[in-house]
Amino acid sequence: MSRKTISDNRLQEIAAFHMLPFGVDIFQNSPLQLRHSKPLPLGDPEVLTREVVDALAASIERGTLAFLSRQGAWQKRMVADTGRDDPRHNQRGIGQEQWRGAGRRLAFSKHSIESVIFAYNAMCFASGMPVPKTRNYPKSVHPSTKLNGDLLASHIVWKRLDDANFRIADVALQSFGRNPLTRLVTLNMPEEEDALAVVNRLFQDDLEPSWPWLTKYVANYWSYQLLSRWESLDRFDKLNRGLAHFGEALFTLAEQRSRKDYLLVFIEFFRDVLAVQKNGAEIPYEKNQLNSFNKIARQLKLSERDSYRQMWSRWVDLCQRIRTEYEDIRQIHPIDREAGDKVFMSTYEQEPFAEIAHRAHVFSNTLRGVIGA
Amino acid sequence: MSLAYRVSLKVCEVVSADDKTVHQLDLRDVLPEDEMKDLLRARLVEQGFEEEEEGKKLVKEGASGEMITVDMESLELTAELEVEKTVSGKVDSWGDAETRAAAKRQAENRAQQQANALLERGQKDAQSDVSSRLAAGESDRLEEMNQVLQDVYSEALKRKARRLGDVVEEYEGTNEAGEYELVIKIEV
Repeated sequence: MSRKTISDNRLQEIAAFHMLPFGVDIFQNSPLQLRHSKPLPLGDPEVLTREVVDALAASIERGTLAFLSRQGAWQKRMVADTGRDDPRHNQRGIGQEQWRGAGRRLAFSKHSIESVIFAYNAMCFASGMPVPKTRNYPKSVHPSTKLNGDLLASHIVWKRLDDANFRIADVALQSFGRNPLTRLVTLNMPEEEDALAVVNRLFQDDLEPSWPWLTKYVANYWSYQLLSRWESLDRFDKLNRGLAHFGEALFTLAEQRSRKDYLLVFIEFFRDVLAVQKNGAEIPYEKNQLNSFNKIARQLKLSERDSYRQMWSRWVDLCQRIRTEYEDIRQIHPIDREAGDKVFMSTYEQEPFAEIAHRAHVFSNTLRGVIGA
Repeated sequence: MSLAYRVSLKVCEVVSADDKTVHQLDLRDVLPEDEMKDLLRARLVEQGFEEEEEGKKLVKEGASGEMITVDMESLELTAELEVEKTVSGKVDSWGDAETRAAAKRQAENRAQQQANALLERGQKDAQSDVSSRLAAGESDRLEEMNQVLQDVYSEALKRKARRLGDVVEEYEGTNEAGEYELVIKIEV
């Protein structure tokens, strides 16, 4: 037996007994465990046996669908399609049949497998394994997002690494940063073009069945992200920019395609953010936010503070635009309303939104320094 | 044996600092837009503003020396303050080295660093002073401008009422909550 063959056998063993269990774990809902294992070379099919590839592919597909289901995506889709919550459809589907029911297929490629191996290696390095310098261990991979399955899977892998209770190298996490879904949840869209690219990819037809899930997931993630914006002015500005750019790009696309249901994410988001008042906070939410801003901006010139507030007001303004869109749809006769309009209306009407929109409007005026409004 | 060298430096430099605040005036169309702007212009002139650039801008100097400008096209209210401040002081520093030239170089470098720090502190103080002065006058400026807009709306509503019919009763005052109240009854 040649030295090369022995080496491949050893790597195949590592793949089967260390990487594969990790590949199953990473698509489960339980916390990711740090294990001391040896990394595997990327881009080398010889290190994986047929059985490992099949088992990993099954884990990726099933795990991705389960991840979507945990947010109640299919149930939400039923509600969106039928316009009512039908108890007969309350079970959460986790198979491709739900995806096929929407006329699509969730497709994966070798890129998803590579993403898992990359994540596995990142965990190995986090456990103290020395980072090799050979070309088989590139510092970064750029997971493919051409196929809908690859896009969702590589986002899940990133999220699980980001949530892990052990320290993953930033360079490893950044490697997944080009994924549009990851960009969206982290609001990493500093330029308008970044937001356009994200919107154009995520609102392609091949991802349509995931939109109900996306709405809830992204809105929750943003609310969570916003908690960290008082850490620094840079972070504050980055999140505001991301939200403003994405919101404006999404409103434009929704207008172009006459798909008001694209905007549901902002209904959910503003409900999450501005409903804080319901919890009986002593200081009004808006005042609290301004106080926090004044603390981190106290060293700035007044003119600089103005520009930060202007950017902030750009996404707060979107709340009032949601209300305007709703008022516009109400002017359309019910028979002439598009399916997306109906979904938008039913979501809007689930809980009172007018008061939230009014508060956001007043707050936006404060941020922009409007006098006489 | 080491040699000591002392450098004394007198610092006297003028630093400048500026800051500004911008507010948007929300002027609703009770009357046609041009007429509303004319009312606003007239009211601002009464408040001591002067017309510039053929009436496109109205300016006046505020209590803190800031320049207050109302752009009649964009309806932006800008308050801008710029100050120059002379930073002066004396820095002393010592160099200590094997040779006289090295000791001199060391002393000069230290003196320059101290002088730069002095100027930087002066610049920061000037900036902080400008921002504080501008911020201190903010509430007065906003109050004044709210009053101006209230007067403009009041006059606009009176004119509108007269155009709609005969005014039979007009009441202008302050209600129990301290809010301005204007009641106009007309006969159409």
